[in-house]
Amino acid sequence: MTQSFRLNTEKFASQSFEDEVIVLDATDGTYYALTGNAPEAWAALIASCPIDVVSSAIAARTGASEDQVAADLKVFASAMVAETVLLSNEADATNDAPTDLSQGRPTYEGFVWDKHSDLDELLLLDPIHEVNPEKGWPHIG
Amino acid sequence: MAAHRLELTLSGPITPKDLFTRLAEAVSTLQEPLTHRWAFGEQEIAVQIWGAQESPYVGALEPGTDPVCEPVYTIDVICSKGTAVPWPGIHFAREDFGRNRRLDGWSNDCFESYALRPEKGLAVADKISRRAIVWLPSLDKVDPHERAAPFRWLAESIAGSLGQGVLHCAAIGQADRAVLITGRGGIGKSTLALTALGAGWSYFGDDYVLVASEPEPRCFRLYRSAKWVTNGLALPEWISRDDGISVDPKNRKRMIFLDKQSPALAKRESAVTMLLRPRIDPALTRPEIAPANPRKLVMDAVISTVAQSDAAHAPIFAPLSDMARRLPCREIGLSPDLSANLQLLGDNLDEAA
Repeated sequence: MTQSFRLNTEKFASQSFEDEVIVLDATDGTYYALTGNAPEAWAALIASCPIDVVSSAIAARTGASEDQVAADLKVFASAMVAETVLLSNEADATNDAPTDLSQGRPTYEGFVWDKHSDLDELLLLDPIHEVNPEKGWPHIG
Repeated sequence: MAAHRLELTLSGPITPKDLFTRLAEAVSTLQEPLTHRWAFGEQEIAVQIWGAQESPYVGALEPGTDPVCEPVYTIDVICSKGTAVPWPGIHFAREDFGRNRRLDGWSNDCFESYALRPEKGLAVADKISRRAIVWLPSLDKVDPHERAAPFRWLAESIAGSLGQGVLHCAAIGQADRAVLITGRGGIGKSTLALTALGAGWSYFGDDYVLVASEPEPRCFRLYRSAKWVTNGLALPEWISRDDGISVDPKNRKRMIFLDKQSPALAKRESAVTMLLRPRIDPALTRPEIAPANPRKLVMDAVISTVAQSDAAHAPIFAPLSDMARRLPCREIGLSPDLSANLQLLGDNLDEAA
């Protein structure tokens, strides 16, 4: 049975920038930079396109081994699921409508992603440090 | 004004809705509020302050111009000292707190609650009726940051519901062209904005600006305040190191409310025609400007906005990304010659237009 996914929109939003896709965790500022062939796969994956359809199209366009692309894309999708960025669909939620995968890199470079967590140094407030475990917050009178 | 003693002690399991309802009942017993209209993009917000002779917010809020139009949102502020409306009799546990001010344990799909820590106050916002009620022990204790940018923690949520965003940036402009100056604290946003302010440019904010990307990128002033650090790159001639009030002694940050007659306030909104990321380089004898990577510019702006955000989801990512794809993105290396920085920016703004 083929697999498909959707974006966890409760926490994440994604945007494309030329040859890169950024996926932002809007609750804490962590973000993922997707490069290589990941951006072209991303739009199809979050549209719930079956993963084997995506890997076949990229393999056909780039001339790479279909088995290699399929294995790499499965690793990438699994990592995104582990990070809770992607959610697995139920079988009947797969989008069988044709997805345009004709655009993308002419060569195969793999599905590259980097995680960035540089928000902590910017956090200005720490509201819980005044919470008394016994009395709670605030302490009035 | 009659003083009321209202029993708000709650017992048993209560919900954010209960809390909002009790506070709304308290407001309904009060009389003669101070009222403001706050211009919020093309809409207006009604601000009603109960139990005070003076408002700590009037200097900073961009005033509305149409007192009879239907407000898009209402904010009621209860001053306990002036109304005798007591703290609602609850205490928040550690697990109730989210990041920054938001009380995640007291928020749901309909209501959002905030702990106003410096003031030891509380706010509950009803997203359905589009009304927030703020309880403060005393308006004398409103934090200087809050005076400079009142209700900023609530503005993000309101803007998101209107398809707009509050971006951590400065915005200045000439004619109907404005540049959003983005990036993390200390990289020169305020220095550039204050220089522009003194040179008669339009001023839309130095820290928090309302932005919309549809149908065309636009920015709107929310606050008539300006902040600066006294040990920054340089200080424009029109301002002295002792002007205004201290908002952050540790970081030597001060704030002024802008003169209502200032020509910089003549326009309160503008088309956005450029995104700019400054960097301070004291070694530069002349400023320099170059194309900026849109992705880096957007992420710097988004991350610094999320860091200061109280919204559950920063609604700024999509509109700012959209702007970065449509508008020129530049990086300016600021020199200590402030007027040269502004001249170079003005020339580039003309070219971009």
